[in-house]
Amino acid sequence: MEGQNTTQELTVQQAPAQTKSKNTVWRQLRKNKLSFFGLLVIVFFLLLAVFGPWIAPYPEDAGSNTKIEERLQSPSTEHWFGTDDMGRDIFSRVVIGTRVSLLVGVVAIFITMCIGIPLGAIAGYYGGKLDECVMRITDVFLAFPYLILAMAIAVILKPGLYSAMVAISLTWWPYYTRLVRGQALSLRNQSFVHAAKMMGAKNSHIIFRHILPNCIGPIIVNASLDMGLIILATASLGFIGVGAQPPMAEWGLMISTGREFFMTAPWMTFFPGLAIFLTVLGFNLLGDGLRDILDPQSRPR
Amino acid sequence: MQEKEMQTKPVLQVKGLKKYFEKKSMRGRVISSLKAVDDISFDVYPGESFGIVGESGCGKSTTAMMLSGLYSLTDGTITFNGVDISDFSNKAVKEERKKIQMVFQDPAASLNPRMKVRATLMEPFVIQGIKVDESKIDELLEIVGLSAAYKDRYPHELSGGQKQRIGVARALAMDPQVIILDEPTSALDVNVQAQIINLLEQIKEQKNLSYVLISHDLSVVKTVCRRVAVMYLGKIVEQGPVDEIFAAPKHPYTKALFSNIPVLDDEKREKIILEGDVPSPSKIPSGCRFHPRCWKAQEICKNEQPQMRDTGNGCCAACHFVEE
Repeated sequence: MEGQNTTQELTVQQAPAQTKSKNTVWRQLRKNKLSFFGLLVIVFFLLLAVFGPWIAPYPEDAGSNTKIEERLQSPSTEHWFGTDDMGRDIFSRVVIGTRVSLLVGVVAIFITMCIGIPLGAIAGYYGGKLDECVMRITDVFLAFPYLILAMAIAVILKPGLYSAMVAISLTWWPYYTRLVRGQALSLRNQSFVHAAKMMGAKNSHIIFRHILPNCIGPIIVNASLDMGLIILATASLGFIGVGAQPPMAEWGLMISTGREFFMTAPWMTFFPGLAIFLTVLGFNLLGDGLRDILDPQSRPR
Repeated sequence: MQEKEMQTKPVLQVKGLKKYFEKKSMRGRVISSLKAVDDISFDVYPGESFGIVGESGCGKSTTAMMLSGLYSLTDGTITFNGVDISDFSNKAVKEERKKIQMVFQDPAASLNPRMKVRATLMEPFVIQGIKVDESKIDELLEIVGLSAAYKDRYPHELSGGQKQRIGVARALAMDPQVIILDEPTSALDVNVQAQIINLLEQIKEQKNLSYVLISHDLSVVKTVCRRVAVMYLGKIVEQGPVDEIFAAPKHPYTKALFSNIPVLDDEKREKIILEGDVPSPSKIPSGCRFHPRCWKAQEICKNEQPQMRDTGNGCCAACHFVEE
């Protein structure tokens, strides 16, 4: 790569043509079959989420529609996933429920990041007593199993989908604070941060230009892995009864109502469960793949 | 020429510089104290390269961090162009400090991996609120011997030597008077080292800069610097013009250090191999810090700290037995 300028004269090194493709992340993802499969699964569910009401054969079944004569039918060509205790088409409800689950995941992750990332960056960058305070607060939150804490918060906020979302965000942010804090802690001692300081850069400049952009990789990896977990947590809250309320078409809630009819109509729990399983699996596979690509420490050399 | 330069005022004056890393208990009592740099003084003149050499852990990098304002001082003063810049919480001092820039040891860590070369070189101007156009970036790249096409590269698309050139260009963007070179070549291949050294020499001539070169590579110091200070355990043990010190080191530590430089007629010379390891800076020996490893050590060395003594030809050394 270096030019042959070992002599005293200053020869200008010419840049050889760039060979690297810009879409390296995309290319590497294509190569990793498992995570590409994960991505396909997620894309599939995203399409369901967007076009759900048009795909579902009985979109009116999303709410409290009752067709007593059709209740508890087993899967057939008419009702692919069977019907539930109110006679509603489970396939339609699973498809329409995708939007709820994905939306909760995205919004909860967004709120989580909004709280967690700034706190982590500030704690890690400034260090000292501020860091100590923030970290002890995260310790308090992390001392409880997240589901128990989320349940408590959701109950206090009045059970419902929105409180479930808020409850999950409020229990989840410490993980992001810790992640970003750790990154910031090591980044603030990097020479390029020192150089910026010597140029008289403000702290805000350093945080926004140097610290945060270099945290993005691990944040994306974590977010994609957490999407699955958060969807699972929302379903769990729905199942317990402190999340989505009937008659909403929400996977966790659907499993919860199906529980009573488990012996006679197992399809009521099986298909929403399958949907949860597939989305969580998709996000986990994608997250694992992204970790290999974006996190240089785990990258095979 | 040496005489003339010495008459001018030093651009950088360091007096009694100290850095202790102290661990305090909850009540504020000092539990342990690590004396990384303990009372060092030196002057750097305009257009001069001043070298600081020593083993790893002798405090030379800490000194660089203090000069660059990244560490606060425990004690002592740093005077730059006649202005005391020791207290850098002061705003005016912050402005003044911008004329001291640094080139870092690890070229990979010295560039933000998410910023293209263009953004890296633009940054000094952005921070200062100066509007410049692309031609300024091209100009900086040209000074460090890179073509303008490099500005669209990310650091991972550059070689180690190229990254270091960008590091130099970034320092130059601030239009500095003094550049601190913290082991600028130790992470590079030998042939690239020579290129970077040549480049630094040329730039110094062009811009009339002063360098403070921190290195453990004695041959680099010998090529680049005019005067040198040898550090051992946070103290300067010997200081003076490079030629004098390399020709006739007076302090036993310097003698030992320089006797181990590989030369072609190696057999003719006796190597001094020191016994034992460098003591920990948190448990500094009494009296002369070097006495546990010194072959000349007497009773006085254990009890009394030697003062800097003039050894002629502009050199001075801190040893009780320099006259011998």
